[in-house]
Order: sequence, then C-alpha cells, then structure tokens
Amino acid sequence: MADVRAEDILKPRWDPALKGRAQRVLAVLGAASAIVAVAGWFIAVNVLNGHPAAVLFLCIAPALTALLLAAGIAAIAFAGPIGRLLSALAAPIFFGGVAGLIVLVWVYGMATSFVDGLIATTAPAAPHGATVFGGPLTTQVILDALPHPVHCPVVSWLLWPLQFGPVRDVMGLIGVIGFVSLFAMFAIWWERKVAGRIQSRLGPMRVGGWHGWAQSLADGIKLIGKEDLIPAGADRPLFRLAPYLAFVPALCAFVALPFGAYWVVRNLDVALIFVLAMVGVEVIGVILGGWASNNKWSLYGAMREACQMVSYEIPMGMTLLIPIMTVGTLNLVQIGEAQRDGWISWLAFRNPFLFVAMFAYFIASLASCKRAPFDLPEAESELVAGFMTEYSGFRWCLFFFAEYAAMFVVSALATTLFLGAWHSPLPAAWGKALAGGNWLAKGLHGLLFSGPLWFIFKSIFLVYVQMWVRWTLPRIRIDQVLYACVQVLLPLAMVALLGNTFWELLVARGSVLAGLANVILSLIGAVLVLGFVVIMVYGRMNRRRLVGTLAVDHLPGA
Amino acid sequence: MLTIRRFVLVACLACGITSVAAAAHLPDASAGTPSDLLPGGAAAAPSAAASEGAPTLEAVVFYLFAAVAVLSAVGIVLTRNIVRAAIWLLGTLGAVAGLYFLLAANFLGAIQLIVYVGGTLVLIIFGVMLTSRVPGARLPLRRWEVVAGIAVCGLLFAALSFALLSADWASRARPREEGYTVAMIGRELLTTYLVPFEVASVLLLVVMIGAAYLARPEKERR
Repeated sequence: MADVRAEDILKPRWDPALKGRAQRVLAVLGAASAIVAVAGWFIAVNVLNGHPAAVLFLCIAPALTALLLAAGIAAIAFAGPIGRLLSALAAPIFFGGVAGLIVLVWVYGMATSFVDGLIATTAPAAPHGATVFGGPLTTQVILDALPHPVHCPVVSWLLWPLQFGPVRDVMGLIGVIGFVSLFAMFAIWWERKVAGRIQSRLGPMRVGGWHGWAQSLADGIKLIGKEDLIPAGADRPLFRLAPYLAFVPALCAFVALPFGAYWVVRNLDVALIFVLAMVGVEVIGVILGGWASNNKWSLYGAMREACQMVSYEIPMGMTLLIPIMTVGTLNLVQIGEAQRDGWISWLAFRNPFLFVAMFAYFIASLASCKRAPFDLPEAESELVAGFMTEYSGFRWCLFFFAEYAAMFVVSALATTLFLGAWHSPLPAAWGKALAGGNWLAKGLHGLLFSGPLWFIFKSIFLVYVQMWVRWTLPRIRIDQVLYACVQVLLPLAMVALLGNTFWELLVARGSVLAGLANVILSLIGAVLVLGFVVIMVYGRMNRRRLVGTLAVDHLPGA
Repeated sequence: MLTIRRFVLVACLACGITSVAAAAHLPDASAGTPSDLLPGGAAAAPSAAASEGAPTLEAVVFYLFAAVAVLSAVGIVLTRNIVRAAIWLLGTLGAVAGLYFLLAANFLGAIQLIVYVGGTLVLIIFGVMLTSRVPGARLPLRRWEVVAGIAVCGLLFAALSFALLSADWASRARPREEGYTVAMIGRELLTTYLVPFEVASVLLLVVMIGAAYLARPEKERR
C-alpha cells in the first residue's frame, strides 16, 4: 500500500482538459457580463436618466458577476498554490470567515440605520419624480449625506434600495436562510467533534485542515451529488413534499426570533405562539415522510414522532407560560428587554418556580426536536433511520437541516425566555456611555453588554448541552418516554405554573423574600456556570492524559 | 373514519366558501373602490393605492391565500386517499391563518396555526395512521353519504352567503387597530366574556375526563 500523506489528500487534482474547458466557459460568461455591464451603464444613464434601480440591475449586478467569474478563472488557474495556502492557513481562514460574516452583518446593520436616520431627517416632500418606486430618498440625497471614507456614487446606489420595506424583508429572509444553512453546517460538524471527544476519539480531522472544519461542506457537496431515490411503493408527491414541510416551518420560526432588540425580521406581538406553532408544524413533515415512504421502519418512526410530539407539546407550552406570566407579554423583544439588568435579572433566577421551569422546558424541548434520549423517531439501532430510512441525497439533507434549525429555535426560546436573551451578564446601565458613542464604542458595547453575538453564543451553548446529553444518555423506550411526559414533566410543569401564580400574587416585587430567592438562585446559576468553566479548563489542560493512548500528534491540525 | 372525513370536508368547504365570499366583497383594487364598502377616510391604504390603478401587494397576497384555501378545499373533496386529504387540509388551514395575519389578527393567526395545524391536524394524521389497516386505504362512498354531504354543504353555503350578503359592511368596516393585542384579548376573555370562557374550559375538562375514562385499562380483565 502506498504511503499516503495528509498533504497528498489535501492537494487538489484537476484534469487539464476539464480545467481548460471550465476556464473557457467562465471567460465567455465573464466577458458577456462585462459587456452587459458597460451597455447597461449607457442605457441606465442615457435612456433611463440614471434611475437607481436601472443602475443596480443593469450595471452594478453584471459588473459584480464579471468580477466573480474572473476570480473563478484565477482560482482554477492557481488551484495548486491556493490549495496549499488554504491548508496552511486553515485556522485563520475559519476564524476569519466567522469574523468576516459578523462584520458583514454589522455593516448591513449600520447601513440600514444610516438610511433610517436619513429618512427621518429628510423632509417627506423630497422630490419623488426621480424614482418610479417613489421612495423618499434619491441617490443624490444619500450621496450628499455619506461620510468621508465611503463617499462614492457606487455606495449610494447600493444603499438606495434599503429604504423600501420589501427589500429589507428579502434581505432579512436571505439572512435567515444563510444563518440556518451556516448554523446547520457548523452544528453537524460540531456534533461529530463533540461525539468524538466524548467517546475518546477525534472526530473529523482532515477536510479543510484545521480540525476538519470543512467536513460539512464536503458532505453537502457529496449529498447533492447523490442519487435521488424514491421507493417504488412510495406515495411520490407526498414523499417529495415531506422534507419541505419539515424544513420551511423551521425557517419560518427564525422570522420571529429576535437576535437583538433591533435584530428581528418581524417583531410580532405573538412571537412566542408563532414560534411554538412553527415547531409544531414541523412534525407534519416528519410524519408525512415516514408515512409516504411505505416502509415499516419509517412508519414506526413517524408514529413515535407523532405520539411524542403531541404529548410533549403540553409540558413545553406550560413551562413557557411561566415566564410569560412574570413578564406579561408574548412579544419576545419585550421579554428580552425585561432582562436587561444583568445576571440577576434573568428570568430563570427570579423565583424558584421559574428556575424549575427552565429545566422542565429544556427536557421537553429535547423531546420536541427528537434528540436523545428521546430520539425514538430515528432510533438507528432499532429502526435503521426511522422516518428518514428511505431518504437520500438532498431530501435527507433537508431533514437534517430542519432538525438542527429546530434545535437552535428551541435553544433560542430558552435563551430568550429564561437566560437573558441578547443581554450579557453585565447590567445594561453600566454600558450606557458606550452605547451612545462612535462606531468603535458601539461595537464594544455589542461585545460586552448586549447584541446578537450574545444571543447566538447562549443559544449555541444550549445546543451544545443538547449534544452533550445526546452522547451521554442512552435512548429510553417509548413507554418510558410517555411516562416521563405524563407522570413526571406534566405534574412538574403544573406545580411550577401554580407556584409561579401564587408567587406573583403573594410575593411583592422588591420584597425581602423575592430578593433573597433572586440572589440565592443567581448564585446557584453562577456556581453551575463556574463549575462548567473549571471542568472545561481542567479537561483542556489535561487533554493528553484524558484521551489515554490515543495518538493525536501525527494528524493535521492536532 | 368516515366521520372524520366528512368533518374535514365540511370544515374545509366552509373555510373555502367563506374566503370566496369575502373575496367577492374585497374592494376590487383595479376597478376602483365602491364607496359604500369603505367608511370615508378609514382603511386608507388600499383605497389610496387603488386609485393609482395598480393592485396593491395586500390584494395580491389576499387573492393568493384565498386561492390556496379554496383549491386545497377542493383537493380534500376530490381525493380519495385519506392522508392526502389531511395534507390538503394543511393547505386550507395554513392559508386561512395567512388571511388572519393579513388582516392584522396576529393572535388569531398564530392560534389557528398552533391549534389546527400543529395540534388537530397532527392528531388527525395520527388517527388515520393508527386506524387505517392498509396505509392509504381508499374510502368507499355510499350514495346516501354523497347526498347528505351535498345537502349539508348546500345548507352551509346558503347560510353563509345569506349572512355575508345581508351584513351591513359599511357600518362595520373599521380601520385596523394596531393596539388590539394579546393583552386586550386576554383582559376581555376574563372580564366581559368570562362566562363563555369558563363554560368552554369546563366542557374541555369534561371531554378530557371522558377520554381518560374511556381509555383506562379495564380492571376485570386483569
């Protein structure tokens, strides 16, 4: 057997003929886009009087396409050096990519707030004549208001569409879909790493260089290339429909999730019910997939899912009622804003019943997104893959995306309702000076006090706890699942609900008892988090010892 | 099983017919607004845009949801496969929820989704999967059932049409109240409508106890 080294596997290999053909195709497309861009510029300026939409679609969009295609040609031409560079700089690229995405979203946020400010200051009597769509701002107004470093016409044309509501909705949806896809890819890779570490192995290590970070990307490409199988006895339309019915509701839930006080696509006054409804609707896709496959394993999986979901929705809804009762609104943004005064104001630490409700909710949410120990619908040791047995390729991929999106949604709900939403443990009052400062101070405020990063961090931590539980606990039987719901979780949720009712009625806000309970529970929470951190650091420091005889040094990135 | 199917059929027809009837009464955006349908000045957004001649986004979305609701309802009636009927029902229920959201009745829309789509529909599919011996069993229809179904639907259609046509829309049309929120609904339920609310909850409790009684294990056999 030949001695294969990691560098040989990482090195890209191209068929020269294929390479030439790909480059020629890209060159033709790029030249066409460039011609369209130049022609579009003349048409937009001379025929359409420089209408911003015309400039955007006829000139700027083709020009960007041409640039992208040129970059593609260059990437194919220098594939070897680029591959070596990628594998050498894997970790910086990974972290740089994450940071770059954050900066991109931040720039978009600054752009929208800039446009908002401009709309507020510009008189509504601004000339409408220049735009067919009748927005309040013309490109000239935007250009005049742009600060020095970005004072150029291209930026004003790019900012112009942001004044329209539908454009922002589309941008929000793109953001949601992008976030869900990236999160699912990240979480699948991370789940494999967590599973590996818990089982004293390494998990994916090769693709991408640094700890196999591009494994999900490679898997995705593989899955898209796979044969799309539909069993002969399946109900074809329903079989095709099912993955979308599972995935689309999970996406819809993100529309109402607030990532920050202003980072929400739709600030619904019934956001909580909407998100819960979407989590509930997702089940239909799973049941349908199991039924339409015409396979005993799939049907068993679907039955278990239906049974489990219908019963666990009740304790889940009841435990969510408890923080609602304390805050008095279903609007997730307002619930988040009620927890702005630091660690001690987080709802989980307000009273003992809320503290219990948080754990009860977490257990119910495990069941609702079919994670172990409640992963009976999949149950790979009994049902092959449960409801997904007959699925392959992209449809299978959609089911997985739906599952990870649902994991994030339930974790995000727990974060919003119990764990301070997008606020850091520091009280918001300390950060007032930073919030009103320049862009650097604002960025610092986002990192230290409140912002989408905190929300995502806490939610991902809860997703991590879900994974931790999955790889630690064994799967339980279906009768045990129902026993745990009806005889343990449901009474617990009811007691917490009643207890919280009486607490709200009898214990005055600001009384000694309320304060004492608040402080004690906050301390318990702090001890739990500190304990986690200490154990994590201990494990990190002793990682060679903990993995035993496992040799890690020869692997790339270890 | 047939009971469920007929229930589904009637419910969907009702939804579909209601949407069609409501669509007929929607101020037609392209043809100009009949003045008696809208109080002066109120509901200004659609009428202002309608005067420019282009259909508003709102109207387009409304017709989209109405079409989905009606077509899905037709689908339920025409399919013989009971699981497919349940999925068509999903379309109707979802589209009606969409209509509620469009009417700024966010609470009603969300409740429609969580109760009917997330709860009732899942239960129906679950029941179908549990009870049909052969998956996708075809439903035999007897003649008197068809006649009875048509009669019930016709009656319902007549009643709804009468109600819609005789309603005094001009005096009842009100602009959207953005402030009409969950908190207000809750307060109303526990003050003005306390008695119906409590009666409904007692009814549900009785149903739950009855179901538990029926489902309990029989002691004699043990």
